[in-house]
Amino acid sequence: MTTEIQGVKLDEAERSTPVLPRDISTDELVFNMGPQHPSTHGVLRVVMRTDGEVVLGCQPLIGNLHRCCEKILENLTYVQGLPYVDRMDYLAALNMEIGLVLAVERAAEIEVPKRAQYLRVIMCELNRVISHLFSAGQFGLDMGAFTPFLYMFREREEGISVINEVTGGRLLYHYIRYGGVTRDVSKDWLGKVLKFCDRVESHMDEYNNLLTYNHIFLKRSAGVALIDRETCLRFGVTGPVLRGAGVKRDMRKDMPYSSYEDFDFDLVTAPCDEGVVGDAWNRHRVRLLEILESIRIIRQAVEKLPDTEIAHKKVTRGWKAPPGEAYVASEAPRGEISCYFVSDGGKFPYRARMRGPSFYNISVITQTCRGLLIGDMIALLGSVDITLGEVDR
Amino acid sequence: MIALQTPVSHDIAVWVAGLLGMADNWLFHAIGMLVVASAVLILVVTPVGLGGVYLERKLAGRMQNRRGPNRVGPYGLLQTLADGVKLLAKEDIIRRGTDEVLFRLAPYVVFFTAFAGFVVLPFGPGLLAADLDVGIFFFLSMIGLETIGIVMAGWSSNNKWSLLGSMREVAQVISYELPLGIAAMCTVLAAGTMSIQGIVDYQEGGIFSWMILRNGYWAIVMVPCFLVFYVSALAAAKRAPFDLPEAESELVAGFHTEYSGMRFGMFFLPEYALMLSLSGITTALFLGGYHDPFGMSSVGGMFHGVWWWGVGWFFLKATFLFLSQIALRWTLPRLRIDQVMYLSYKVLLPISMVCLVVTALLRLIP
Amino acid sequence: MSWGATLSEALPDAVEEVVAEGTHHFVRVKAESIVEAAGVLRDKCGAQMLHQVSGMDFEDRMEVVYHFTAIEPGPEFMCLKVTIGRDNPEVPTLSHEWEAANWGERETWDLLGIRFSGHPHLYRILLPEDWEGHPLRKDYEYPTEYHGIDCTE
Repeated sequence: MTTEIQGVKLDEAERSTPVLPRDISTDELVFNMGPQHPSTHGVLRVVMRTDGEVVLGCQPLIGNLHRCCEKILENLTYVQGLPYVDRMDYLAALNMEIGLVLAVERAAEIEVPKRAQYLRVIMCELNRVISHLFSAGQFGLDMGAFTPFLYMFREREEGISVINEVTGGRLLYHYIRYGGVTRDVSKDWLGKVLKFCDRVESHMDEYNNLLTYNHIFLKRSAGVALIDRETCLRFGVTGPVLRGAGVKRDMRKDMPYSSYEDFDFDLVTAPCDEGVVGDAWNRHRVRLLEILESIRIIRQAVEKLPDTEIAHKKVTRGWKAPPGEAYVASEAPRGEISCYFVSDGGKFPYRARMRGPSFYNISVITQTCRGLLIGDMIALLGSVDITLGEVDR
Repeated sequence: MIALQTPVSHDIAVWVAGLLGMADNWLFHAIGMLVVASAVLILVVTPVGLGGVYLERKLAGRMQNRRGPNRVGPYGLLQTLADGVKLLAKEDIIRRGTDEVLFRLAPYVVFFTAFAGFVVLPFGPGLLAADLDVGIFFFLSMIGLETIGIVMAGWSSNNKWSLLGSMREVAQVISYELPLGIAAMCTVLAAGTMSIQGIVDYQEGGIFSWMILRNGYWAIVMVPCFLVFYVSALAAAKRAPFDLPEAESELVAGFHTEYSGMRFGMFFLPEYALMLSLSGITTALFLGGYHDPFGMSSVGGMFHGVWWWGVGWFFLKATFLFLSQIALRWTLPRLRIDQVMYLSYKVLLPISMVCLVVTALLRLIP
Repeated sequence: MSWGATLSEALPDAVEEVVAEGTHHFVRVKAESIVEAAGVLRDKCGAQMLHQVSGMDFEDRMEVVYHFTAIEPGPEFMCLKVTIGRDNPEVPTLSHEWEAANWGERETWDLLGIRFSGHPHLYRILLPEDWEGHPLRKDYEYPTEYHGIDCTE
């Protein structure tokens, strides 16, 4: 049903069923959370109907950061368009790049040299580590724990510097190209990567003591904001949220791309040791455990890094894809980024339809918010972990 | 060595009145006392509040792997002052649709009540503004009164987040006043007086005269009592993990969302003043006030009535409590509103009531 | 590609084309039977999630491309395509069975102007409510001004 509150058209089918027993519910209050709210992780606006502190329903209103990335891609040559994809999920820019590049390569049937594939894996996993560090810290910050956030930022900073050394960027890297990667790496740099991995691993206990197993944190997030398996599947939710609901689904395992099949790593899914499957705590825990799995992958990739070319010879500056289409999904930190790519053989891509995982992940809060307290609502938003750049594209 | 056994403001007022030849004029006497008391408080407490802000930022920096303020002045000591000047220079914004009278009045109410608590706080032997017979009662009522200022701020801001913040504040402070008051009552019961000076005097004579460890066996009731008081004081001062009224990640900034410039400053400084006065009152009630743990400040002791010895010990203990509050803030996440209520009514209140009964029973033992 | 065969077996009238070679496998179905086709994928082929709704503008026609995915066991993508005319394009909505289609279809309407009949809340989602035109159409004309903001630069 479409209802209108304060000039905003809201889509709320559930309005008829009351959250609170009728005899204790009072007048409704409409809250406008965002776009300048500190916990919406960007420019998300959520219109909430509440009864005191209890949320009765909500509607996320997105689009404040919309740049129509897909239209931009249609108007630029292949190589020109690539940096724009970085700006989708600016916290995991390399994972965004690989999302587009894989689809184009599949459509054009380009074989990527093994070394480039391994470098992509190293880079994407490094980016996943720093992105998950950010998300986990941000979730803590939303719950009022400021210090763990800065501890995680300390390691994230180091990870950024490591990537920076090769790519020349700290946030938006523009490293992965069609057919390979831009720059080769040195032995020295690989040593730094391993050092970074050791460092993150050695600080894991610190994060767990300070945040994950903190009694208050557990009380706030375990069993709170449940998103169960069925809801996830219905709303197209992917990534740590889906795995936090106990579903074994990870593109790196299910449909390996870029030589992920060469590496030995485990799929992290709920149930973890505390909480209920599908709650905010499990999503947080899945993220932290995925950092460890990523580190495992990085170590294997560094060890096995083959000595070949780093880019496909035929892909030059004026390269264009032959006519064709492909749909490839890859695993970004926030879920499955996929690209439906269609080429008509022209200079520009005909269509590159990007799937932002956060776009579908955020839509689930319309259902999950019901009956939560405002404090839990923050836990829900923080644990689903969205990047608005990717929701709005 | 100056030994002051009577409240210092009274002494100064009498001295000034004597100089002017009006020692017998009771009106002059009363007004003089008020003026001197407030001047002393503002001169003493405001720098202490600023120091508290500095300490918090420095300690938070240390805990978070950063340096904290270190640019303005030596060791960043003047940073808080510089921030104060910045706040003064900032534009004072009053939004359309606010209830202007209440909006302007609220910071003063909060400021006044937060500082009023210091009136009954003995910093050292004889160093207190007014030795009220109902000192504890006065102190608790000032904390309660602060709520009114915050409700005024939340209501008049014409902002739903502010309103929600002030509602949380009311619910929280009213709930925590109960365990706070009952825990304080235990000490009153033990000392047999409601005057804070009286309670401090009762704890004279070394660490085993302190309320928390009195005669050793009193610890069984006073340690839980102290913990209840400490936690409730955290909640009453709106400190993390009980900072729900201004929870920045939930309610933007809670009740002071719409305040800017110095009006915001007048909410900010009282928070630290309240923390300090609550640390001070905890010290006075449970940790022997200005008495040292060796009994040197008791009658016949080496430092009996020496004001700097007492003040030193008082601030040592109060600062320790203050720093522990800061450390807690930068360690713990925030509770949820229902958990805050649960803690008050289902945990702290029963404990404090049991403590009260046990204290009454212990009182029967000579 | 067993799901393509299953689909053409179950709905022989609806299936227009089965492509099981090359880089992208898909089944083209009639627009009016998209709901049944999606139902067959769910009930017989194990499609559990609607992964993506994409709109396409081919200047002479429009397409809506649905990607479904199976989770476990045997994860794979299943793609349904629907071809529609360019003037007044309309497709039945999937949002009653697949909640993910709610936002996906709203986005497709917003950016390409494809209507989804029966959609409970077909409003613009990314662009402002008063925006003119649908940007991803190939003949989209860029606005020169929006509420006094100059867009010509």
